[in-house]
Amino acid sequence: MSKRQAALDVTEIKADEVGTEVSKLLNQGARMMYASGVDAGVPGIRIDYYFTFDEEIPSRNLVLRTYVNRKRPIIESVTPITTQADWAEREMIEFLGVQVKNHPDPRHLWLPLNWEDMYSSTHPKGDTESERINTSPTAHPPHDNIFSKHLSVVPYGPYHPALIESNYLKMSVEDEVVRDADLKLGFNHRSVIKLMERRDYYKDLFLAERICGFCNVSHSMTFAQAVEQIADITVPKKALYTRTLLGEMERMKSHILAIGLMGDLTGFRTMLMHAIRIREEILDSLEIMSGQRISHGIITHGGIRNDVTPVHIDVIKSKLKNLKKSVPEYFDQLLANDVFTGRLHKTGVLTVDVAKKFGAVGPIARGSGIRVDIRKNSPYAAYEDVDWDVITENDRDCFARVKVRMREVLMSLHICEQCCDVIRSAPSELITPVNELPCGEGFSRTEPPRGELLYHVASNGTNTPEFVRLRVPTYPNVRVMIDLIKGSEIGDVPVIIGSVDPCFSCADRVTVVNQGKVTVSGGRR
Amino acid sequence: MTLLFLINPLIAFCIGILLSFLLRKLNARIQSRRGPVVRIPPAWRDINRTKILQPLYDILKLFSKNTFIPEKASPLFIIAPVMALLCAILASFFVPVAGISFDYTFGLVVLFYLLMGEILCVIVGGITSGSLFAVIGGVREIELLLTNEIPFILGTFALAISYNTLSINEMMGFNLISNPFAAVVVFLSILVKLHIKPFDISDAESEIVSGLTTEYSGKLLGILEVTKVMMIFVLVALFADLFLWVPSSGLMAWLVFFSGVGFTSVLIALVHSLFGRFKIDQATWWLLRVPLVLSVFAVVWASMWRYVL
Repeated sequence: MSKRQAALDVTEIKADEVGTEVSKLLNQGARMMYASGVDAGVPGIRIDYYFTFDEEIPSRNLVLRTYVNRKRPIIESVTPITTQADWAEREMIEFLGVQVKNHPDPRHLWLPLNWEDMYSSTHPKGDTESERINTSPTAHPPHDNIFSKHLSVVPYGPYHPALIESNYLKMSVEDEVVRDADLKLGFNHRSVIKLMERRDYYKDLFLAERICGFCNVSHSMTFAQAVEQIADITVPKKALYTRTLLGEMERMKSHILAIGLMGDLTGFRTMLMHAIRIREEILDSLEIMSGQRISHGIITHGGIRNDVTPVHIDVIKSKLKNLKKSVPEYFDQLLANDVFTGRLHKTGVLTVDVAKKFGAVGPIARGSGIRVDIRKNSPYAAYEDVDWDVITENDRDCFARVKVRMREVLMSLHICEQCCDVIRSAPSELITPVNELPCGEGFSRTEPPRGELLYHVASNGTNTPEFVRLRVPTYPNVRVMIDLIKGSEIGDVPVIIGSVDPCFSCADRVTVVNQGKVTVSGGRR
Repeated sequence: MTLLFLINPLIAFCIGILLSFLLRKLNARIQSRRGPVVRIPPAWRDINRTKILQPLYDILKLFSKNTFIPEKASPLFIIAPVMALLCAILASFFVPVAGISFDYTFGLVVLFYLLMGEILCVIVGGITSGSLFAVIGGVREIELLLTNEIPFILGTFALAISYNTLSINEMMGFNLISNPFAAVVVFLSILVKLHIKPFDISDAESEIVSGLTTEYSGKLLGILEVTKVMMIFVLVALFADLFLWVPSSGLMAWLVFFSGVGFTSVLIALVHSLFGRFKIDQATWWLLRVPLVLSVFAVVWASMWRYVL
């Protein structure tokens, strides 16, 4: 039976020692995963810096914890030391009001660029309690470092055909060459992590699933693992293998669509349509197991919710057999097309140094030859007991990233078949009930299709979590994407975006469950 | 000379609609979709109502919508689509439909100017809209035009050399056998002119929203769509006339002509669905490398047959 993931190793330091401690850890080969703050009340605002050691297997997770005064929340920035902290600190500035000193680029990333003006320009000083936003046009345009350059600026978004989700990518362009690029997020922000603090643990699972349509199994699985760590329970074997099966199915479904979208972004729509056709078999088998096609709702604390019977397994195995034939055929068709591969070769080259500097994870890092995979680094579910290996490519360009995804799909098929065999004969126990949840902190990492997902959950003994902090894989990868776009050509930009395969809803931690009636203005029936 | 050629634009529009249906249908079938259906079973009426005239309905829908004109656009924004349509109508006079056309001694040269003029009008209209996407699309379109016109002209002139004429009616014939290089070159040029898949760089929707036509809407976009439909027919018919025509008369002529048109458009649909999109530098380099060399070959081949052998 597989071991549980390594618990969090917390080191408390003083606020003025952060810089030296962080650089000490980085020199030891650590990677900064995330930095986040929690308003802890009397002790002040607690700021956590999450580290992991990728070279060690199983990897050690480390947290540097410091407290700052609530009245004057000032902390020295670590972004000059490592770029991996850039967005995390910008997020702290916006959502928590922490003043990060000496941050090189302290503009708003999620909030509107003129957020301060909305409150301050016309309202008198004392009227901050009404919290009414000033909607009149601002006195001066929001500060923006790109528009001041004397180049033509090409906007991608908030709604653009290359990006299905809404974000705003600004590029200053000189003769088809992108000189500078910047990204604005926050069009989907619904503050899921705050909502999680108000719901009980079982409802949070469904909320976590709604963060992303592609990696919903990973989200609920990671949250459940963090809670299981607090409760200190062991998950039954059948549940572990079912979770692995679900996770790998999800990886296949996401990767095949990502490869198809890559075709669509290079104008090869036929391949997108075939990707969607092939994907149906995976969605069907997921539906057989969980009852739903997209948000499965099958994972719960301590196990899984419904049984996967041998009859289900027979159907899934027949579907896997079809996939084993159709998927390699599809990949061969794609790789045989010179126009498609010609677009991908030698575009968006991500060197190992840059990838490590920005802390890239997932297929993006593996496409540059970095051997990092959370399934291997800190095994969860049944990954230690099945036969599989990390897939890396050394070409470092968009083509390498696409090839990593292709080979991972084939590897996932292999893992799925093994899981099916085990589930068929596993003991029928599905769930270890969580009877009591002590005070404590749980930390869990998984590998969704796009990279590394981490959840940090703290329990205070009640039925709702004290706080939840999560970091999605798109978060560091999009930071890499902006760096890749700079200096490329306009024709390469969609290819680079497609190869990074960002999920901006994940990065925004979206949840949109709009059951209201859709009203169309100006339409006639 | 009869005035029968005056119905050519009408034929061009009607057959163009059918050809774009064919393109859509074949594209959909290759993509394992159903596409617009030929006959709707009664049970489907509430599900799917796309049918054989769907391209026409799309154009009619555009004409029933409001037209938005950008604040910064100049009057050319409105004039250019009309000019483009005019060019397409005039071009359809010069392309023989089953042998019926405005037979003029320098018809080929006039046709060159009209085909180029249509593209230039679209470029001018797009650029004057003031949209950045249109400007980038315009630059790309001009680059394609510059690299594509030389092979196109050389390829058609190879036929002019073998037949010793510049009138299109006199150089019609089954030239696919007598000069296959010219046939390949003209086919590739038609792909570029129609923005078929490897060469739809100027309206690449994932890069620059829809290129030159980004700011067009309503009736002006409808005019551009009519122009597009007519251009499909004009260029396909030109290829069928020059390379797939068997001299005949009466009903037989129409049969030969339409089978040539059908064959060409099926080929175009296959290319459209089986390729991705080039980048602009890859496309221009490929156009300079393959069709240009082939077109020189075609001219040499034609002059060899005419002057040496």
